[in-house]
Amino acid sequence: MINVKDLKFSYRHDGTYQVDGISFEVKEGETLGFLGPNGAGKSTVQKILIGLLPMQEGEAIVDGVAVKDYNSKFFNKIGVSFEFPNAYKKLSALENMEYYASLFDVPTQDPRMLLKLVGLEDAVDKKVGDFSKGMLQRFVMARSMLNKPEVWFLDEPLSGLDPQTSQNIKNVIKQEKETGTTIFLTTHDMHVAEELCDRVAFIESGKIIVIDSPRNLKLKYGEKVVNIEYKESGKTKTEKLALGNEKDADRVSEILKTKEVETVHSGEATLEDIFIELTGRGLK
Amino acid sequence: MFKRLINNFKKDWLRGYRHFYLLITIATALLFSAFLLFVLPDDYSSPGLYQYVAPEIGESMFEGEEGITFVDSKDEIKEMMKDDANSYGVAIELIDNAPVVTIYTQSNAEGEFGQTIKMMLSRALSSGEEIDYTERYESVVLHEEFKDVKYKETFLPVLIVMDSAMIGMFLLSVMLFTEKDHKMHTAYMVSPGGLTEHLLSKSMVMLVLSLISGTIMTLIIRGFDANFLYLYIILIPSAFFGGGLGLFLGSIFKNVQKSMLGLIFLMIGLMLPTVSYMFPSFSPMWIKFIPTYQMIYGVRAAVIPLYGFDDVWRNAVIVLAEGIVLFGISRFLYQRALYKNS
Ligand SMILES: Nc1ncnc2c1ncn2[C@@H]1O[C@H](COP(=O)(O)OP(=O)(O)O)[C@@H](O)[C@H]1O
Ligand SMILES: [Mg+2]
Repeated sequence: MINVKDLKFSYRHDGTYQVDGISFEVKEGETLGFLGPNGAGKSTVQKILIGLLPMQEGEAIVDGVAVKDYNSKFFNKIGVSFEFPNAYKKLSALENMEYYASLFDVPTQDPRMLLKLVGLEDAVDKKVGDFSKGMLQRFVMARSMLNKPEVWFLDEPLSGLDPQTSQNIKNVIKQEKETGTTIFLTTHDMHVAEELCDRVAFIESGKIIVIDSPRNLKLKYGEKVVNIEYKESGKTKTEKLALGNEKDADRVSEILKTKEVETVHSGEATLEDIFIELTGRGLK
Repeated sequence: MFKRLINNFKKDWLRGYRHFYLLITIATALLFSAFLLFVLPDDYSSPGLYQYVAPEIGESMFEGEEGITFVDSKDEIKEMMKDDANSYGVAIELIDNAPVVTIYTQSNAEGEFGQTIKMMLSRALSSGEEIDYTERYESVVLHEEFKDVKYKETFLPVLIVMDSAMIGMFLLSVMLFTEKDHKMHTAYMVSPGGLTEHLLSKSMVMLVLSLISGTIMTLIIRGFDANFLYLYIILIPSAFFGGGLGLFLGSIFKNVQKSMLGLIFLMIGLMLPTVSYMFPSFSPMWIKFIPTYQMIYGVRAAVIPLYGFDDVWRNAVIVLAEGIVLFGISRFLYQRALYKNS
């Protein structure tokens, strides 16, 4: 459904690449997540794929159409939920939805039903300008579903939502997934990646470090993590160390030898642990 | 395409309405009308005077007086007076070796001025031999239609054009800027909607507003003496052009603040033909290339019936052509700017 090869992009055309030779594939009905810290290049990749940024180097095909060849009809099959919500502030949620629906050449879903789906049933007639950030976030998601997209792009769909709402929206995404929609999402939240994605790509400095299913990633990189609690000058300290990593392994034996160890837990590594292990930096 | 254009229009109209565009338009129209009605005087203190003296006669009796424009033929007097509602003309010719005087007035009311001229003439002409000057005196009413046109009403076309071209330009650029501000254009770009509908619908909003304001002002000032069909024929392309300028500003600048200088420069440029319109002796060739020139003369022909349909449609066609070119350029610039802002 999505096929990307050696994609490169530079905002400033100064020889630095914010997307630096990325290749990946998303199969029909699959959900692929881009997991990486702020500034990694996730949104940039997505903007290129939806035609908001020009194609500079490499190739990308979405639903059989090369990105360079997009015409307006193509967008009948695409849905995009933006990282920075956008809407006409002077129009109500419903007016915004009805207007956007009217742009499509294909049958669209009932705006009220979609607003209800994302929990905005009480704000249907409220001006979008009066929405909170979380409401806006949900609004643009509902809007992106109007045309029942075959390929659904979600940029940080859950950032800024409280846990309860976040769970509801995750369920909405899961439902969509059930119906066979191909989903490309970006996130800096490992839980989102783990819960929603069939496969996850770790992205850092415009490069994909690794791409696999959450389960495989854990099997491959995340078996041997230990949490060590020890006392040092009267305080309890915790360190999380990966045994697969030579430096960490040395540190474990150093602690065991030199410190007053209180507890040792071996546990399953989280995706973030693995991300740190592979890239040397966290997701924040 | 058509369906989307209409839907875009409905949306943009609603947005404009909620930003009080309709209110602003009506208030401006009323303000301009009040300015004409209550601020400008009915009559200009010194009317224009055009004089033709046949070469055989030689010098003119008004030689040296200020405010007189000397012309080379009787036809030229008529030509000049057509553009100058508050004016008189005097022609002195030599026929059968005797001077013949023709006085041109705009309406049959000669008024004080006509009397003064007659007195001066009778003195001047009877100074030498005995001549029955009354036989040699002719009074021609040039433009009966001007009878009901007060001098200040000739300002109406200027105000209508300022309103439709300039307010349109300003409001439309603001519309694009708020859209950019809300990043709404990015959502539009990933929809099947085309750029032409997106921009054209905004021009249509300005067009409706401009028709409303033009109608209000014309009704108040001229009542049903104006030809409203003519008015709309010239106002539609004028508003379209004004909208095109708004698109232009909205495309090359990032926000309202940054566009201000450009807006002011454009306004000054657009005002220049007004000067030429009010002082017909200032009319360099290049001024005719500023579209407001055609707009003003087109609107004048609609609100003052003297000038006829030719003046309306000729000017309308020119402005329409200019508007289409401007729209094309603005659309191109807007498209280029989109990539930079997404
Ligand atoms: N419009 C822009 N102009 C210049 N640099 C940009 C622009 N947008 C993003 N960048 C830079 O590109 C990099 C990738 O950004 P982005 O794709 O937004 O990251 P992410 O979505 O992963 O947080 C960052 O270093 C960011 O500063
Ligand atoms: Mg991002």
